[in-house]
Amino acid sequence: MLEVTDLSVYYGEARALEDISITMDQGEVVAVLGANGAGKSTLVNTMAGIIPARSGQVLLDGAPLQRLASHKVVGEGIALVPEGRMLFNQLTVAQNLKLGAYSLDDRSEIGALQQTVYDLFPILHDRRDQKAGTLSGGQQQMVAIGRALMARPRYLLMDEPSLGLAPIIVDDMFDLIVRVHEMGIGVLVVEQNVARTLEICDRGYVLEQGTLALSGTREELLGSSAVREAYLAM
Amino acid sequence: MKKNSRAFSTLGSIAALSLILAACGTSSGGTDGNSSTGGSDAGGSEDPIRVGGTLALSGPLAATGEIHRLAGEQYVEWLNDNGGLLGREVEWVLLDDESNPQTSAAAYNRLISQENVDLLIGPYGTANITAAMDVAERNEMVFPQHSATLTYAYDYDRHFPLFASGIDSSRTVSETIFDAYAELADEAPQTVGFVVNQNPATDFIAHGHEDAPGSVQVAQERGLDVVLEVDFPQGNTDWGPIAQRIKDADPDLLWVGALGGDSPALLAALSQIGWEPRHQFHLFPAPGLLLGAGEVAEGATSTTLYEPQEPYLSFEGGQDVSEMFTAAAEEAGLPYAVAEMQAGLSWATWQTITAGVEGAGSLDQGEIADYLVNNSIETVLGEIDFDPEQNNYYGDLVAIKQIQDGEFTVVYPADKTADGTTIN
Amino acid sequence: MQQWIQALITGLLLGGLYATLSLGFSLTWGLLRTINFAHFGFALLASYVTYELSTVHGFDPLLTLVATVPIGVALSLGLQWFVSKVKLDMFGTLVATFGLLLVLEAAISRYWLQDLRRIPTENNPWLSNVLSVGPYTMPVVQILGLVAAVALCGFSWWLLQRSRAGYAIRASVENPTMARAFGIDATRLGYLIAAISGVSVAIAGSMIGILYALSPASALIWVPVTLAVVLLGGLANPVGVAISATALALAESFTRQFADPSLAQLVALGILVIVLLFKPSGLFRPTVEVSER
Repeated sequence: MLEVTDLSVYYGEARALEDISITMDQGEVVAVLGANGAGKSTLVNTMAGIIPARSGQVLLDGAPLQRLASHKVVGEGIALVPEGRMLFNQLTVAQNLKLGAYSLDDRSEIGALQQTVYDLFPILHDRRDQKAGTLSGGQQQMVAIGRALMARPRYLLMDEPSLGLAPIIVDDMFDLIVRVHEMGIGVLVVEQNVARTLEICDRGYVLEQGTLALSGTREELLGSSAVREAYLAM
Repeated sequence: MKKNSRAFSTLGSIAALSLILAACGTSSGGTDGNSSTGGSDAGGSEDPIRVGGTLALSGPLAATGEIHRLAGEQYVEWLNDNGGLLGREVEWVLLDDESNPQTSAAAYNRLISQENVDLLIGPYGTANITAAMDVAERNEMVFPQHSATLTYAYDYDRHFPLFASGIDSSRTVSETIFDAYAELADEAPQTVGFVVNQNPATDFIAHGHEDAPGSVQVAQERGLDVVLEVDFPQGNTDWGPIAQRIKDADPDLLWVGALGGDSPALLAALSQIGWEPRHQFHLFPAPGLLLGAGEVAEGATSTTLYEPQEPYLSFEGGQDVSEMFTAAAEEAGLPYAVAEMQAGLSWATWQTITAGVEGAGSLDQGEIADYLVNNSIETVLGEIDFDPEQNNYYGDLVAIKQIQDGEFTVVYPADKTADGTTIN
Repeated sequence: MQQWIQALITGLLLGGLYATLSLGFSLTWGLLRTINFAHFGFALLASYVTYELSTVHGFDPLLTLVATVPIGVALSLGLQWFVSKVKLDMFGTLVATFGLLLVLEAAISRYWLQDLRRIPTENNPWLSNVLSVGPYTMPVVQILGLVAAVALCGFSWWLLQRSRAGYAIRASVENPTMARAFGIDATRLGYLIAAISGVSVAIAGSMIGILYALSPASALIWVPVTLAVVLLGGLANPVGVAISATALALAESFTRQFADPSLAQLVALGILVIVLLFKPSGLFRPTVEVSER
């Protein structure tokens, strides 16, 4: 169980998140929705340990994560696919993947993990010795997801995975999220593409200006007139 | 945590700044005074006579600056133990010029106009001396100085040079060198190879100046064959190629326009390629380092104006400088604590200003200058007659010393040797 | 012909010294965002320790590495700790390390005075220990220096390009946040780089102590050539450092042999200027291309 309780995050004096509480477990795909600047990226970055919280907690099976040094969080089982991919562009695809597994105690698994990623993304196998920065947007997104998978996470936090991708590829991306989930990983998806995200998630939260505006199951959100008017243009 | 990182970067800047300020303080950034008060025997309740000057206590010239500091301090102590000057104690107001001429000039200005020193004594290093002398001239103060070799540049009538080699020193020093080697008669070197540091002082002696010839020309005038002429920069890091060129030219006499550590480095490079000099001369080496070079330096000659041996020990103050400087240098931990040319020059410079003041009976700069010009002055270098016709330069007192059996001893001219030692 | 080959040999050997001295400076600049002027103070201190132990205590000068290498490593680690704790930016490191250089110079001159120091020949067997191959001579200590340079540059290249730690370091320099997100502890890796720098600067310093006369002000003699090597070679690029050091040393050596020795450094720096005019980023790519922050 991954929980966020009363989380507040500030950038200097500016409030980015206030008293956010969400939960998810490993068997779910959870959506975090909202407009630009609502605080979605802040939320996942804080959960991944790269931004400090002002107050509140991030709990993984009851154990608090927010006080850990940021390089220790991934070892607990949370991996991040950040907005904008943020690959190590000067390293090759294979090296990016290997670094994804940097935190693993048992390095003998790395080969098998890499194979899993290549099975998921065959084209990456072809391009494994190519510098990551030279790939197309869609392929880079694959590397970003693959890198996170190499950390053998229990929870995967994905920040706007469809951003900047060509429409044809966007569909593939959402299919991919489902496949990853079927591997037994709890997926938290931050997205602006509300329609497609609602198709694949189990539950969702809606953030507005740093606070939690709505939450509910997929059906409840789809049925909500607020959601439909604001985000689905209906 | 944002607040903490701001605090840390402020802390960082303060730490960085204080590191720099601490460093400036410890390396005596040109403003720390270092007064030397003398002993207690100087009578009277009057104020001390203050002598102002700078020395290179830090920077590239500091190695020799240190020698002059020790020599000066010992002299002042000796003077105060022996009645002082005009019955008053003497105080040396010494500032660090950091081997920099501008710093030197600024410090002399300060000494004269703010510290109101009564007398001046020159710094070490030709460039610093030149800069300081301008200041002295503007203030019409007597300026005794001990080490500038660029003699042609100085025409201030109240400057008194103690590097006693005549106004055309590039010629006189050169003649002395080759006269010394001529003593070998049939064995005298016929070919010469010149390897010269680009520093103006060494370059001047080697190559001369418009009207005054240097050693290269003097060698040619005497019918010697100049088989190599190479310059090297002050901070030379590699002697291999130069050594190779010397070996190829194979001169009878290797003439090295050396400063400081050049000589042992060159000799090491020569021994590495298996070439031994048959005769070798080094212009201004650090004597301790040259002696430390071992076997390869045996027979090396150099210039000197004072050595701790007869006849110098019998000159005025010759014994005092040797004893007192050696003791002070050993206590300070100098690796080579022998009183030789540099210490002797320093002592002689102090003797000059002292003699001038005592002789004139006053601190009036004009009267001091008159006395010095019109009287012979007894110093550790010998008797000195400043000649106003030659910009206060006088004859050539330069002698040649040689490393024999691991020790320096004077070999030329005969009247400056102990027991008639000769060059080999 | 013989002169050409001898000059080539001399240049290669000198290049070994330049490479050993420049490697640490390049690594800390390129990977640790620290322009470390105290590097030259560390080398100077190592030189003086080598001098002191051989002259006063009679140790073989090369054996003094047993003392100087730990000192170099300790100083480098200490500096890295300070820089990471205080979070100085690159300009701040330049200022702070320059201050540290002055402090080291002052401390050295306090203990060893301003006097020129040189290991006397009787304590320094390495001055005469020479390998002769036909008409060509090579001082053994410089051969060892060349070996050290190759080993250090080679190891650094292997570390950065072929090892897991190397990818991790390069990733942290390119994107520190994401590197942390995947468990890379940049602090520990920083200490690894600092240690390598410390080992190499100590070796360079001891070699300088064996070969040259020392004075407290002499640390600065080595700055221009080191900067040239680092700028030509690409930041933190060990192969670039090795090749640039060799090229500059060869340029100097040929100038000394066939032209005016006083022009040697000028020729080398002239080459640097010309290359930078055409390729401002140097002849080799830096190990990590970073846009300035």
